[in-house]
Amino acid sequence: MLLPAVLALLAVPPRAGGERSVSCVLSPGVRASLKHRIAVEQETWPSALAETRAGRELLRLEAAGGFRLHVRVRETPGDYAVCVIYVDAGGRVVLDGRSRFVLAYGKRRVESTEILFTDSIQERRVFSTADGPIVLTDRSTGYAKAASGGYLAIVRFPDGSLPKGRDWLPDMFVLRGGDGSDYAQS
Amino acid sequence: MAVTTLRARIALVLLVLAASPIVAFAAEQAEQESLWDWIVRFLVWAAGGWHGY
Repeated sequence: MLLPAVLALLAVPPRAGGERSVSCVLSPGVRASLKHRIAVEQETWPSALAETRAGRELLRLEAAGGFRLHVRVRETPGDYAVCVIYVDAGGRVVLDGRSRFVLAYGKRRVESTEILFTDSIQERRVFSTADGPIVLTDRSTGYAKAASGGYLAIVRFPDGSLPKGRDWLPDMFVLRGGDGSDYAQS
Repeated sequence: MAVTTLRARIALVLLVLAASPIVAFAAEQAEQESLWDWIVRFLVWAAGGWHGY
């Protein structure tokens, strides 16, 4: 019983697969990829998890101090997108409170307000560009990486600013520094 | 995050079946922590998957 269950679980591809994404080069050795628009269902989350034993375990871990990034996103109004930042050897990028992802939908522009990181997959800490600069190199160890090897960033936009559904992917995007310069363009 | 897909719900149900016996059979503390780390990975994946990108 156990082995078939595990095999079945492993056979199901992760939800991350199959989605379209938009990528850009930020600087030599640094690139970013917008992966997924996060759907926040604040009201249904706890009750949905409480339906299963595993879900209740997830809530227990959350209550014990884990999944703080999930909690922060769920409890802070806004539109959010998953962005994975890949840093090769020698690459370096500094993100601070003035750093902005600017998404272009035709002539319309949507500008981010905050960029969030976490420390591990258990998410016991949250780092925000609103609190201080975040320096990413290929040797940075304080920030969690996604399975693909890039740093996992959650980019916050004003509530209701991103298009709904599958149309959320922009035509292009740039990462703009506090001085108004564009770091990169997709 | 939202648990909206049938796939996620199936994964959660399978985790109920898979997680507890595996941890129970792991005698060493280090083995238990390692197993829990993997189980947490699966849970996060099922719950939203943003670490899976």
